[in-house]
Amino acid sequence: MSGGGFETPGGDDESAESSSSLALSNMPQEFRTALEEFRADWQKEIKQKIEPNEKELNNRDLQRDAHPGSNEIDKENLAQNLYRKAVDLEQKGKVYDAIPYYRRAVQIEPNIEFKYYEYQKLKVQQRVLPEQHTNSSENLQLVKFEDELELCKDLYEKFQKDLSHSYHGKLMQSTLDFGTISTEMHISDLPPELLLYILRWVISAQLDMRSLEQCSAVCKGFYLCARDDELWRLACIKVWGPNVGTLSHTDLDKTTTTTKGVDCPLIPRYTTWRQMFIERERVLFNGCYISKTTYLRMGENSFQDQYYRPVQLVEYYRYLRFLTDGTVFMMTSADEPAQAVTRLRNINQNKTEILKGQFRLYGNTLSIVLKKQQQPQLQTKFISASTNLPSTGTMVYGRQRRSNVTLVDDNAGNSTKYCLEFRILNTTKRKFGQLVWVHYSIVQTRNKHETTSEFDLSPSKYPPLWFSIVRSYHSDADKPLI
Amino acid sequence: MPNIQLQSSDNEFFNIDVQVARCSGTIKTLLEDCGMESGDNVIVPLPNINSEILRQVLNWANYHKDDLQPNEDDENKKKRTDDISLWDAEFLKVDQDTLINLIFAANYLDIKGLFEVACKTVANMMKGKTPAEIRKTFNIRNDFTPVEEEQIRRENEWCEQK
Repeated sequence: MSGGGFETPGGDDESAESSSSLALSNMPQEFRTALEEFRADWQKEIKQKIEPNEKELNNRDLQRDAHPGSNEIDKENLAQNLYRKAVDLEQKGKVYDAIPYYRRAVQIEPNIEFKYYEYQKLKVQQRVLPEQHTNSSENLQLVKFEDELELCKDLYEKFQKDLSHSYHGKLMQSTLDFGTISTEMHISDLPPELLLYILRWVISAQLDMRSLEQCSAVCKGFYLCARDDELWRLACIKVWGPNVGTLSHTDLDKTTTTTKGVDCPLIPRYTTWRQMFIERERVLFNGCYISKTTYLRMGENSFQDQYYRPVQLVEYYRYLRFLTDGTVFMMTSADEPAQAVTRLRNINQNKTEILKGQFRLYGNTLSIVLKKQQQPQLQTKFISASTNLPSTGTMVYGRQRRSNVTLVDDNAGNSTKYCLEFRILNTTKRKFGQLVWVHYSIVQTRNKHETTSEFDLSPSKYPPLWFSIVRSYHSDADKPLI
Repeated sequence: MPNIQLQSSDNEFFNIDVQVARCSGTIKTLLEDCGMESGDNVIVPLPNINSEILRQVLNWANYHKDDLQPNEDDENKKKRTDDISLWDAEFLKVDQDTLINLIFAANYLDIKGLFEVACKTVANMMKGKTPAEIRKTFNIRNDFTPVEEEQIRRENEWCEQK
């Protein structure tokens, strides 16, 4: 007896009645009464099974305790079915309906909770396997064997299971306390919520997810904490802000991109926030995007030698650094990356050679709006300095320099806005490692008059920017992830 | 200024200024709710904290009692803890046992400032480290099987620095 043992008889009863009612009319009287009696008894018995009162149950329990045997298994099955029904109901939110079932199950089998748990565990083990075994006992041997060979699909579930019955409720094991009892506090003494908070500090506001992933490889307990979905959700919110959407439903992002007139492929669904963080297009934060532009420029004819015409090789770098709060820094400099990136390290800076702005992500499109940080006197100095540089390493940035000059002459009410748009591409080396120019324009406001000048994005002058990691950017936690 | 007494788990009594005690959100609320703010000879039992740790916590609170004026409106203020003071850095140069104990105590007593710097200190011990280094630092046993370790390595491959 298994399945909905107490439910089916009701159904059987009805169909039996309807089918037998015809035959009954042809039967002799005594048969009929005997049958009626039998049926009444039968129904009574069923009723007792459906709604057994406490006394009845206790009696039955006592009886069964007195004669243990095959009934024992029936009883357990019944209890398990009742319990399963109760769990189902509770999961549907029908708590009050679930209570009587729980009660009955416990009355039949006081240990039902643990037995049911063990049973569920068995089922989980089977689900982990790719082949999806559903029938239990005979495959169990096979299941265990394959479990060791095959990679577990979901380590999170597995480790949760592993930790639930080891280490005395702790998340990890110390290397010190093998056999000895120590009064010293160990990191394993921290409850998960405190460990999770420390991990927020590890991630920090700079979203150092790499350090978090390193933590996940320390031990099972760390793994469980580092894979905590809430941590990754917070990280996603930081990256995509109001456009983050939800895991299953990403229409928000789609509509904003289409209204912007940018065609982007439909954003796939993500099963976890971690997956979204890893797979969805974004910029990288633990370093700089750098491009190097080299071009030749004809110099002035020499005064003495008419035939000598110098050709100047102009070389400069463009640096873009993104911060998780939506801020972006852009700097063009003749300095080699090794020196230049450190100038972008301090995120609270206000240097004039560094343009500061905001960025937004729309699918794989990145748009940036930059503004000059207003410090006119320093600017003049900066420009005159750049013209004095030797010809091979001149910090010449054609049109932008010209705009700098005009800005210096401007008075405070006027402004210059740089609008940049990039496509985020993957490189063979890393995801989202390349930014390709899509659009670049400058909007100048002078005396409330706006002029927009667009740049011709020839690949030689505007090569893609490549990402490279700068370790010092993430070396220290500044704030926890909130 | 009235004084109150704190009783550690090992029954040591600490006679301290209420001003210092109010660094702890727990004690502050306790005093306010019980109307004991002005009363002398108040004893607050702290059964979760031993005298050694309590002494350190009070040492910290005493140093920070002026900059930690309880401000209700700074809840939304951005946490500015990137400036761990030299004093704090020196204060937190303790062994791990003490550090974990301090986190516990600061959490229990609800001393935000101390809790944050202590968590940050632990976090910086993990940041940018390899799993093996972290295990060594914190004496954690590696409980993965080689197969599991390999799978995690694959899962984490996306952020490998090449």
